[in-house]
Amino acid sequence: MAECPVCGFRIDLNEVQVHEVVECPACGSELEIVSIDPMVLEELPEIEEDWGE
Amino acid sequence: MIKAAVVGASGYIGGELIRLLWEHPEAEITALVSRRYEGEKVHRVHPNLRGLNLRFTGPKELDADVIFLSVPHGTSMRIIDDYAGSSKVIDMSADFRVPLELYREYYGEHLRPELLEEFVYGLPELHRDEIRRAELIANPGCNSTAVILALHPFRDLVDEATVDLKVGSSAGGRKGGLPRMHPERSNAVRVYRTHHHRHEAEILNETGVRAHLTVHSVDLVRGLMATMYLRIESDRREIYRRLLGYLKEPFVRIVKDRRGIQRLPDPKYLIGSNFVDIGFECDENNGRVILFSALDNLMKGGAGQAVQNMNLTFSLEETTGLRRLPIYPV
Repeated sequence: MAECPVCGFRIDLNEVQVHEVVECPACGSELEIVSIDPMVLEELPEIEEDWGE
Repeated sequence: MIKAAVVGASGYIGGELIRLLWEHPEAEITALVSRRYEGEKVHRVHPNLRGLNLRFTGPKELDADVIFLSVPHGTSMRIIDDYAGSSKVIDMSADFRVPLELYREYYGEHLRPELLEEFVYGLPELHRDEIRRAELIANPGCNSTAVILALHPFRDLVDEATVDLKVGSSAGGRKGGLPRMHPERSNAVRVYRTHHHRHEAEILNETGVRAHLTVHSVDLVRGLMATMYLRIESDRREIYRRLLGYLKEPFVRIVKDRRGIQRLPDPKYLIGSNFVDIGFECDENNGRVILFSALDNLMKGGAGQAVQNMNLTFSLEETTGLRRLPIYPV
């Protein structure tokens, strides 16, 4: 189990690897597994959008 | 099968009800009432329904388990006695949505105040159990549905909210006139109502939040977008925690993404579906939270929600006949 760093939802994670990207089933955020023991997740960086401003 | 009739079937909501009921696996259409188009083939008024071999009828005694009243505000309370009693009624107008005191403040005198308490407010996410037992249901409109569902999780944190609404032309019904002609309507961003919008009454009644609505007609046919500005000192995780109360709701999607084409709710991405999309952003430097809520005004803001209510009150699975994905691109 790990906690989503974005919304706090408890995510059930099995057989995952470091650098794998998982999606929080609650808020949909894409999370990178940066460490297994202890389990640490980080939100993927935002891709900036240029809308012509 | 549920025998269903639509009174006021020539309007846009009426047409959308026909589309949904025709494809509903547990419903059959028994009457489509329109005084103006009595005897006319339905597709002459709703061209998308060509091939269904349906005709409008005049007002008559209806053989129906459920009657959808899709008539203008003020009309439902004049004709309710013709239909209530032997059938369940789902009323699309604003006539029975709020208690008498609020009705008087926003609308004026009510012709049938004794019936107000018999109606259940048909917003399944907040009143599911009452709707299951209801004989009379007041179906919320598009503005109210979008704003109430977004504000409700924050009702203990704010008592006021500034709300900017952008709505498509179909929300205004099938009325004509110079302001609605294409050269006037196209490309317009028209302020339709500056303040004291009538639907503020429903929002206040359901959330306790006094919402100040400013409504703009924009160059869309379908679709509604509500942007709500709240004075809340909070962080992203707390806002998520409150919104995730909707996690098991079949028609509420939380939309807040950091990648891809769509980052926040936009009606473009739910047209034709019964979804309402809710998202937010925290302006922590200024102590604000900005909420966004989008829906298709004819679906979750109208006919789709009415069919959702029908499903509940006839003990069907809530999503029956409504499991349709949005049309894209539109």
